[in-house]
Amino acid sequence: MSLLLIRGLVCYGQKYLGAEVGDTLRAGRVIDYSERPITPSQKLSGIALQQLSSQSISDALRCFSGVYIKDYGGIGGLKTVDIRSLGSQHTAIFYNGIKIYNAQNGQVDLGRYSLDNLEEISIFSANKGGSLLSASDFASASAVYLKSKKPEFDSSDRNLKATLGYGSFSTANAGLRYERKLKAMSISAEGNYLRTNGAYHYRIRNNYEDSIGRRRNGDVEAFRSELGLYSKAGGGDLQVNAYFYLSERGLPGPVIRRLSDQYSANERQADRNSFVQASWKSVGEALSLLLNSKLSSDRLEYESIPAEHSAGTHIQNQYNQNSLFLSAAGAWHPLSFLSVNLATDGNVSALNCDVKDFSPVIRLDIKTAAAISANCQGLDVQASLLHTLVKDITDNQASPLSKLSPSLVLGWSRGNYQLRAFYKSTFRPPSLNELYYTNIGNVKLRPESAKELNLGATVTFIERERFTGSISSDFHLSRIEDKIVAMPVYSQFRWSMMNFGLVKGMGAEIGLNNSFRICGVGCNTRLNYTFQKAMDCSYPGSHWYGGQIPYTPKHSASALLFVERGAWSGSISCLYTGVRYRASDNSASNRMEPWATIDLKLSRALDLSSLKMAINIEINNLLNQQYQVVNRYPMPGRNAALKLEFKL
Amino acid sequence: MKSFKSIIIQRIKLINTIAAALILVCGCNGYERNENQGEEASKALYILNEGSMGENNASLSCLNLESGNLSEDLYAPINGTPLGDVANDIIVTEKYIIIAINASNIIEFCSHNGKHIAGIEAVPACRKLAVDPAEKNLFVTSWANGGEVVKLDLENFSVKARVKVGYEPEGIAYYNGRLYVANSGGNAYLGDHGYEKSISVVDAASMREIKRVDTGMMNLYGAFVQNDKYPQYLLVNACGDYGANPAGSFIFDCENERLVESFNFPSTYAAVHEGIFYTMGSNYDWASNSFNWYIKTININASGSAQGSASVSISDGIISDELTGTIKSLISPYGIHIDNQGKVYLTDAVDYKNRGLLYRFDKEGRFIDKQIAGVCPGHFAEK
Repeated sequence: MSLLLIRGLVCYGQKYLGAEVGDTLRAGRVIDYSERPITPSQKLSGIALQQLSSQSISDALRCFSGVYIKDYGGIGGLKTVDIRSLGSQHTAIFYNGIKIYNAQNGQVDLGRYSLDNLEEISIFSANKGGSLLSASDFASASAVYLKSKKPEFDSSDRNLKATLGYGSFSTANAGLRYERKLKAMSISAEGNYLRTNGAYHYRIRNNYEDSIGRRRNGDVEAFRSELGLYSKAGGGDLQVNAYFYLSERGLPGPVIRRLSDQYSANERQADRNSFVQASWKSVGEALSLLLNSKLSSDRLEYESIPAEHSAGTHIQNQYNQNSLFLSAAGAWHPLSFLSVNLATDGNVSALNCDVKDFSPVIRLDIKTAAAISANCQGLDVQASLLHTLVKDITDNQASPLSKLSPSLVLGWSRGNYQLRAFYKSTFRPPSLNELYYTNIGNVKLRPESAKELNLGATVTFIERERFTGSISSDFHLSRIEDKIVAMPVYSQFRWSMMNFGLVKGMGAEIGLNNSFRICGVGCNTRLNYTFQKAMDCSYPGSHWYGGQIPYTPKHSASALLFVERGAWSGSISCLYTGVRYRASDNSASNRMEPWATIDLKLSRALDLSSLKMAINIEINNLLNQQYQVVNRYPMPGRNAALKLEFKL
Repeated sequence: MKSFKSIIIQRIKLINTIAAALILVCGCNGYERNENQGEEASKALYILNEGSMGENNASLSCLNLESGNLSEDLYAPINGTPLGDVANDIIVTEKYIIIAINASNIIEFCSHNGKHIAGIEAVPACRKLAVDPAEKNLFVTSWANGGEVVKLDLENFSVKARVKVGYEPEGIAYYNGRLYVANSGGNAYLGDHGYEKSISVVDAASMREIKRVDTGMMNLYGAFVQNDKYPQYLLVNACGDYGANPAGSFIFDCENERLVESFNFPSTYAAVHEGIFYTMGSNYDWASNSFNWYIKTININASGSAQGSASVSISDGIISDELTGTIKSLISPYGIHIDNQGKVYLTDAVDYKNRGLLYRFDKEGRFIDKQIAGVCPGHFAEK
């Protein structure tokens, strides 16, 4: 067993060994340690992922080290992920291996992707490792990979699952999932409906203020459906996913001083997101091939309805974005210790909106990457070079962008020990909003660059099957230059985007994972601590030079415990976020107090002849901690939910 | 051996000294009422910090003019709540400090030491304030309802009347029973109207718009300063449309209700002292990726009579080279003020998110000091 694991550590790039080892480990409720890449990575999968009390992906990501979620509150609030405080636009999100691309503002709202149908969430710095990577896999400083559930059949050739849930703030959800095994393929189809009124009580308390209230205009209604098709074709694995999401929500806005409720916020947003993506992978002895494609169509409707007799005009805008993505990647193993990876990606996005004086934009984004991986006696080296070409077509377009991103990854493994290091230089191109949005865009913007250097180590312990664990630690330095920020350039009324920022970062993460059995109870613990210093060096000579950038805590930690025994299972997750500041000027008036939350989940499985049932109870924010992640956007206090699952 | 009387005198002197020290140390928590009005030295300079939108961090700073100490936040510690979201204008009357808090839709009335007296929500999107000389009525421009001016009673804070003016009215001044309101049309980018070019003339008693004067200058947004020596003259800034129509400014004659002279430079931030306007403005030049500065002193030689015509002379720079040079070195100049002793104050908002700076100069334009104020310090009022 241990031998297989060790081989797994070294042979990450070669034949996929994971299946055999993983199956055994998964049965033992342990996180799969095989196929460990030589870049810093964390993963939550299988039962552990299901047992986590969480409504969205951002809740699960919070449990990882080095991850900062910017959350505007409630189920409907925008949630973006930022790894190692480089900025959310330097973190790419992949769904089943294909990037979720948003040319308009470069942001992915994690709140709209559900955990229900996810098999695994993993995060990587530098790249996800392996010898067969697509060009987009090389393009960002960090990446989050979401993998949806593949249908699994035991005795019958069809599965049906229904879920019903009800929780605080009138949150109701219902879902149905159908899986069917056919001769040549297996398919899955699911639909999910969610509704909430988002009217939670809050309290904002600091030095000079103690205000209470109830969130208004925070209601959400969302419908999501997905189709999956999995088969073997042409000597490889084919996976096709179709996704459709429709939602309408209110935007509660920041809590500002008011004397009454008569001018409450009334902004609404409706979204329609849909895509079809196909991925075909063939792994051979000497040659491996990966082909990806994706077609997506997104619409966002924003409306601002001013209160009677207030200021403000009635604003209504519609934004449409359509994209086509094609990708091809190949890996060639000329020698047993050498692997060459060539990949190319092309993405065409068309953005149109009815904002005054906005002309439609087509963005062409072509990436080409080449990487060489070699391993010898436990030492792994991967050197890669990515070229990105971004060209926009519109009235008064920006000049085309052509840039190289190199990276070097080193790893050394021996027995249970792994040492790793990487250097990576990436950038993110200015988004279409930043370049072309009426009155705010600036076509002269340069891309924002991110450079990162990392040193880390992992030690894995295995003691028969009773106890497995690993301790992992990374130390990193980073530098963000030409940060794109909004500034009043024309006048204090008219802001524009400028490259004006320099952030120097230094951080350390340490994580401890353990699995063991005590008295028949299977336990899985994960402890994480993150230290992050990110200094704003944009204005030399200013009185806040070197101050910690907004919303980044110096200290944060998480502790998770998963337990299962027979039909019962549960989890406790505790998260701590230390002192933060809402501005780089780290003054007392800008201080945001530390907070800690505790979430509990308890599940009981019931077998009633052919019907399998599970009852889940969640209590989130047990101690009713009142806090804000983003200044003036309070988060919900204690809340609970009950979920019932039926499986046929 | 000391007599009983001398001991008492010494004790009284000591108590007085301690009391005076306490008053100085506590800054603006107390104020002295001078019996004689008129040319008295002000005791305090209030600086209104706008704050950032959505951050609820507007604040009121107070500079003790005798000690030179700046207390950064006068309002929040006493009242248990921040001032609100985006404060836009401040006026000090004998009884109150009046603050227009735009995004919170609040007009705040507090005492001279910052203690909250009343707040009203009847004027949403309030922008600029003016009072009549008797301090009986408050006039507020508002961007709500298509642009209006609201008259409030300063005894009971109730709304007396509203009058519709042009879109997005900005600066307002009271002269000879009438209100002069600059219309900007600043929301033109939303599409349903264009930029405005007019000054509305409103009768203050009846609150009727008498006429609208077309000034020929577009988007009257920004500084609007009424001359202290010749109150009939207003300095008005015009932003243009950030494109084909460039920024500029002009002098308006309230007596004859017409434009006196226009300038091809912006007067984005302006102050007036002893009849002279001092302005600083800039516009961004995309080609050279830098700012063009316009730092000017505008002298009005006017008889002030209804028939008389004013002659305007302009010179570059403000008071001293040191002062002018400092203005050019500021990252984001946000306000200029000259107190009634002639001292000059500049504010720098720097990056508009973090606390800005207050610079002080003596009346010869020599640098005294700089202190940290609040976020986007931009408006001044003296007591």
